[in-house]
Amino acid sequence: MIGEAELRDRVEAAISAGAQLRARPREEVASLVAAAWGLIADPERAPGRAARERLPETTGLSLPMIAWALRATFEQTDEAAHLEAARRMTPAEGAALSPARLSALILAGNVFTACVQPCSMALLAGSPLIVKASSKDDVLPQLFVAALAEIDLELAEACEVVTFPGGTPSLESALMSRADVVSVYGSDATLTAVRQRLSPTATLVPHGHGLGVGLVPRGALGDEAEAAAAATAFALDVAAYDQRGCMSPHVIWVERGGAIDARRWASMLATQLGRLAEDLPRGALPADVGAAQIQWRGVAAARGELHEGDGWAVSYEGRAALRISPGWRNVMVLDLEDARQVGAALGSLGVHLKTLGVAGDAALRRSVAASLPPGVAPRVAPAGRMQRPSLLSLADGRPPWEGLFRLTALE
Amino acid sequence: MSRAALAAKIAALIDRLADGARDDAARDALLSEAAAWQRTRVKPLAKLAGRREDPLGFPAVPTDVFRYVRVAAHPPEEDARVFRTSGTTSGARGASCVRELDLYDRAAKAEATRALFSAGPMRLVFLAPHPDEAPDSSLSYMLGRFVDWFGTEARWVFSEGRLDCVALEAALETDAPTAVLGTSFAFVFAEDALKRAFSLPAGSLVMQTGGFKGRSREVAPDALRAAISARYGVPEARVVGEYGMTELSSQMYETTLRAPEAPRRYGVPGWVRCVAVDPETLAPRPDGEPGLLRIDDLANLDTAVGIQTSDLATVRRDGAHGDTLELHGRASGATPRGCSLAIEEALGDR
Repeated sequence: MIGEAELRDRVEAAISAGAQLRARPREEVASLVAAAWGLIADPERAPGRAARERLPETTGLSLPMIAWALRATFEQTDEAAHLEAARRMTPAEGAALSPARLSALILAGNVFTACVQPCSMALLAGSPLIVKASSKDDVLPQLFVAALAEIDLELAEACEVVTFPGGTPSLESALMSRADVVSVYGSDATLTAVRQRLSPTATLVPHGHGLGVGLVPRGALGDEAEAAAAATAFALDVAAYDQRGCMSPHVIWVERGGAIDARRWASMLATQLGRLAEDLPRGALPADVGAAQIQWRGVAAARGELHEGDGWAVSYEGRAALRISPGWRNVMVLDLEDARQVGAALGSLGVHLKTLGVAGDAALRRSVAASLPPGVAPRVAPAGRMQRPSLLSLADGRPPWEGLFRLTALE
Repeated sequence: MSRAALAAKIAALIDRLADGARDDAARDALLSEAAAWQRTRVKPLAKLAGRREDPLGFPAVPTDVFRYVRVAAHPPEEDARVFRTSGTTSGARGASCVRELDLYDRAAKAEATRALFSAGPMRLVFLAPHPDEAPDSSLSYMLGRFVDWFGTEARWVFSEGRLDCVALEAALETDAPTAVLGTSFAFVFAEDALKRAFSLPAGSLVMQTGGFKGRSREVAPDALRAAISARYGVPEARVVGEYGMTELSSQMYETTLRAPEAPRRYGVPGWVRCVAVDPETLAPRPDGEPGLLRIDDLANLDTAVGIQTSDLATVRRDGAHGDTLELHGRASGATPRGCSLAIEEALGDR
């Protein structure tokens, strides 16, 4: 385990690299960072091979799922996306951007690609970065730094990756002691602990407990083909990352009045999850999740209808209230009388609702987004893209560069 | 077959095995018979049975099901007693609906006699609410029955969530062998409140049960046992853990009183079948390998004989001491980790 002295040295090293990072044109940094991710995306290159070799063990996901997640993530983080992010960060005329002297990023272990957006954004903002990765899985951030070093050693020096077990106060304090901004992915308990340890002048960007939900409006259930398309899309959202992410849907509401009702749609979703179990098999089930799964499925079978297969389950429970799924591809389908009621159903989720997947076209998404109550600010994403945010997607309702710089106004 | 006839057969088996005798073939046959009887009467059980073939011949009802639907072979108006779990912060509590308490009493008395009170009645001190205060607590009900069966005198020193320290200290000043029985968190309250140690007479014992459920600071089992031993002046071998749950009618006790040299494990009564199962296939794990604990309890005639818990355990077919159970704690994965959540309480779940 890393010692406190070494950790402080790594923090200082990252800060020292900040000057050279800030001296580079933002567009140049964007191209280099995108190129580094590109090396990992490419299964023929050494970083790409290493990712596919090592990630199944550290993440517990199957190799096909790893390959899908890498492809789905990096197809949206190419050079064009990075250049667009750089452009959007550029302040208006008369203002200057003042980057954080150091940003600290604390990652969770549930979704291995969660580091991509915050790492890219920090470097684009001109803020050197220290990443505290999960002690069980630091593969992708480590590969990113290695890939960056292959492309531009000076740029790689602005990104340090460390691991140590959570709940180590002296190390957590050392990690955050010099950071102007600390971005944290983790449980609400983790956020609380970090908040208590943060200096009063540092900015906390919290990414706490969260979940996704889905909605199939009757407008997306005009006929069998439309319903099947929605089922296919949502099945991918459920299967992605084995439903371990904070954007993964736990429940999908199906509006009454379409050509296909919720009960039948649940069986269509089950069919699609069965297919995905062959193409993107689920990883091994940990024993503690197995315990939760037995309970969750038992309730579903006892009070509703349960479709289950090898590594997945769909419950249909009428108009019951949402029960949180144990993840690992267990999802609930419920009836919804009117899609305009979805806002009321979501109000209690508050900031915990990270993503709302909506079947159908953009007009349906706009209509649903307009009905959301105050305090609820999910990504409203098309079905099938809940687990595939773009590089520029809002994170918890905030710009992805939140806290990474301040603006100096010239008056 | 009528309930009365089935209950009589179960009662006869409990009586026959009360001294620790084993007849697993008779137990298993009667379990299958009771499960078949329940399947036609307990609606959620019928639904679970139709889900898929169970490796043990009939399904075990996951304990969470008791929070969401009624699991009973009789209508609500025939409930003699409804025991409820301590619940979650959302307020949803599991309910175990009992039509007749004879089997519950018979099983509880038989195993407590063997595990705790083989020397006969003694003074009883309870660190748990009186059954009048907690009529829906199966633990309080059982302790109340203990007064009738095993008590020469009874003191209740825990009420409305508070320990009556003065009453406890007074109850511990005695020359008569005494059994102190209560919940783990109440014993922690006592540890925090009592200012001195006591020396209970030879033959005394302590029975502790349950977890902490956020009601007190958590103390590791070994540490709590050592603290209790020192506090009350009883050997550690006479500090006995009890394992029970609202959804069950039978209890299990550590075997340290009757087998002090054996490893500290829970003895399984002859009318109960414990099986560690694979979390995904529900198939029994090989003897001695850990799995999720399924308990088939013949005394659960009014609800479901098969109960699937979330506890991790190892079951051993131990010839000398009957079947034994080693608990490894509650499986922690009720919700996804990382940035996912545990916010069911915020939602309301009915």
